[in-house]
Amino acid sequence: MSEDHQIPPTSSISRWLFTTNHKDVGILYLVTSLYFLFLSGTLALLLRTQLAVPNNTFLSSAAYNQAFTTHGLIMVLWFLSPFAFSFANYIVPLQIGARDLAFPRINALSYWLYLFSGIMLLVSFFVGPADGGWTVYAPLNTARYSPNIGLNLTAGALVLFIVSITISSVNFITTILKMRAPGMKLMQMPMFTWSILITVFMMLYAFPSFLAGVSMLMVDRTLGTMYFSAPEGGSLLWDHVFWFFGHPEVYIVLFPAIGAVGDMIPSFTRRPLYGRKYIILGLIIAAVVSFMVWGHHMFVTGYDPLVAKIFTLTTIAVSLPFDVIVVAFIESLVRAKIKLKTPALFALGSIMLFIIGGVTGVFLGSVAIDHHLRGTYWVVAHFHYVMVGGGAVALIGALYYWFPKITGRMYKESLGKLHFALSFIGFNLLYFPMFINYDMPRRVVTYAEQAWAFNNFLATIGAFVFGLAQLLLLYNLFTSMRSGAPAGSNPWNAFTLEWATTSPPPDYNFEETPRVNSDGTVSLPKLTSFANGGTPSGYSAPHGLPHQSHLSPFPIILSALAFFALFGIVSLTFIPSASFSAGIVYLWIFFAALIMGGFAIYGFAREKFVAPEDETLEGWPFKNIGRMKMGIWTFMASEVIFFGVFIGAFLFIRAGTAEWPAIDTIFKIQHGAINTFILLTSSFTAVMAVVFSKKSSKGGVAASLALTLFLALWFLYNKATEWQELFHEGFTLSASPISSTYYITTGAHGAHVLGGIVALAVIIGGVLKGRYLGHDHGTVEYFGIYWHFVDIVWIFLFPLFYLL
Amino acid sequence: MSIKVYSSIFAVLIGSTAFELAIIGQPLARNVLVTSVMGLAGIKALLVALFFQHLKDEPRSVSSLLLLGLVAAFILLTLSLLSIGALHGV
Repeated sequence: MSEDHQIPPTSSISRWLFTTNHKDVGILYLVTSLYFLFLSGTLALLLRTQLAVPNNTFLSSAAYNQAFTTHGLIMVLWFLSPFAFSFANYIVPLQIGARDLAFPRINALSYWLYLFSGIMLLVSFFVGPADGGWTVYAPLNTARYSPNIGLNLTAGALVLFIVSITISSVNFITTILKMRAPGMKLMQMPMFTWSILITVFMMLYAFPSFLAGVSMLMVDRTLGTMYFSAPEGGSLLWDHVFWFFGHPEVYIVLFPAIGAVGDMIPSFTRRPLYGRKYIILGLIIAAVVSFMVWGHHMFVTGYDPLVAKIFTLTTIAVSLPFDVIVVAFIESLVRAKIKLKTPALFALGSIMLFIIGGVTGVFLGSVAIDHHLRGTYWVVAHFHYVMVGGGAVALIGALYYWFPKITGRMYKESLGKLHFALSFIGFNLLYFPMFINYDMPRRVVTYAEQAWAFNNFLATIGAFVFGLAQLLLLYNLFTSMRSGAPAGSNPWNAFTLEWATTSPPPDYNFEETPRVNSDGTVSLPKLTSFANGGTPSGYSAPHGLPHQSHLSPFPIILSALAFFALFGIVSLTFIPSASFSAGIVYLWIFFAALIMGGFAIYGFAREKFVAPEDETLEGWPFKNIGRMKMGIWTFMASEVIFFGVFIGAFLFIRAGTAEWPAIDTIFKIQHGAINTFILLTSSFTAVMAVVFSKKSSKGGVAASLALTLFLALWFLYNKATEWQELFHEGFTLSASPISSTYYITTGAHGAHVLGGIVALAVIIGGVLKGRYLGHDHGTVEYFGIYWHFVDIVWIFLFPLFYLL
Repeated sequence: MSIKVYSSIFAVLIGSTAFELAIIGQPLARNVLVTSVMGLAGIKALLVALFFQHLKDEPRSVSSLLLLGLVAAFILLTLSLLSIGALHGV
């Protein structure tokens, strides 16, 4: 299947199930994210109906809590980012002149993991949903206060979602930094691509913290560890880990919208973006500082005043780059003859709404004011103005903007403008009254205060206007897709590269790779004029490179199996003890999915899938490193954060523990030392495998890898023996926060060792068949990068647990 | 890199681990002990990264990717520990 050179027609189901083409994946993201938008929007309408009048009983308090929690989770995670990444998938490769993403199968895997994570969240909604808000605060998230399977499934859904995000980040970073059209310098990239590049870097560093936090939550709830139930960690630990991810997440959903506006403004004002390089610089600075401001979400926790001062300073600082960006956008519009087409209206509207959202957020950076506004509708209004007004509204504009490119047809302009007008009026009617109700507490099912009634009623009217207006969007797009006027290649006379190919573009995007000249103009050796979506006859791949593969069954298979494995394991712990047979069923689901997953990974690794690497592409600052190797290194950067957070949680709990056991009492130095020597030796044998691989010494590689495998197994055996001894002494997972951090931190490391063992088994099999030798030594080297990282983590775990 | 270099690095790694074990039993002040042991761990990690992972031969941009991750983790660790007063007096 994967060796087919032609993609099946769009009417074929197999195309949509097995495609890896970035444009198809983009459309899949688009449809799925819009589904989640309407689903979550419906929940929002339920919430607003409940709040329309005082003392309303339309929703029970439990249903209200469940509805706002699921609404928040879906809108922030399952709608906004995936909506932006539908355009990132479709448009970014076109904007940089690439033929696909660096790892097309990984891209499809990202989508399917996203879809299955959403399905798991929806399952959780019907079996006892999370009800503590999208922030899933501790200790409400613990089994004691949320004794239902729904939150377990939510945690499982989050794990799948974060894995999807992480591999997607690696893919986009590698693509944008290594696969630009020849001559395209970084500063020549379109604004949308720039915004996606900065966004994926934030994703790479922010989401592993959330993954570590959710992993701790899962083991707390399924294995009985005590990260968030013991006071040594508890709610403050969750707050740190969550908001370290949570604040960058706000910018993660916002930046693609800013980038899209940055591309739309020049198209509709017919002149360059004012202060373009300062906007890019502003985005970079805001992204960096966004990792230093999370504490302003925690001012009322009563933590150290010095730290509160630091976070106040950084919070004020992070608003400054946004000032530059907004001023640059406004300057771009001054005295411009703006063509007020629908995308332009949405872009301008979003700038205005973002200004209101941004200004109202600055107040929350002040500790004194935050104490009054925390947990009120001021905050609700503020973040909706930023995330919906600045984010979603701009992205809806982007949908109108790129719709002609994606479908080859124009939407209906009059309907689009009506949609904008109703959305803009509805939005402000919905959220502005919430500022006036700044003293009304959020997340409360009803209210008796008559002073809040009128504004709430207005907000509810606004919600229905805003919500129902979105049906116009669907109607417009559905009808225009079939009967809209042909769009042509460049209906906006826009300047970026995606408009230089047909609408929609062919499978390979450009017949020949575009070249960007030093003055920023583009040379297209042969711009084809073939019919929409068709492939020119006699097409040959560029530069004699092999044909790009487009289909693979493994992304959807792997995602489904990951779904069932997680579903089985998180469900298992909520089976009543009397229901033994049900427990067995879930256990079977878990093991069956795990075993089949092993085969699927093997199939994925063995599948002949061609994604040709073109040496002529622009790749600064990673020119001299292969695509695969760069992907591995980028992934390792996310692993640094993942283990950094686990180690951080350990130190946090240790700092809060009155008495830590003396060395060599619980954690025997002997065990740790032996395992340290074993892993160090395995690193040496792994690096020797690379040496032998380069020398094409089959025996040498096989022996080195076999020795590495033996040492890895020995390490795990020693670890298991040590755990067994500790269990016998009553030092179980739930014995104390000390035992929790020990088992889970070293367990996460052990899981990585296990992953290395699986990889080793596959690679040794390949070596015995004569692969991975000489010029083909890359796989052995990539394994080494991973394995040495696992060794480095242990180098720190050893002294932390055993020596200090 | 030659096998000789790899062997030397391996010897240093084993030797420094033995040194870690040796100083644990010594009557050193807690601060000195923590600094020494964690310092040694940092040096060992750096040696593995530079020579076994061949980070020293990669473009500087690769090291920057990892360094950014380390800095982010360090910021999280420092500010979260400061927030509970754990680093006061350090």
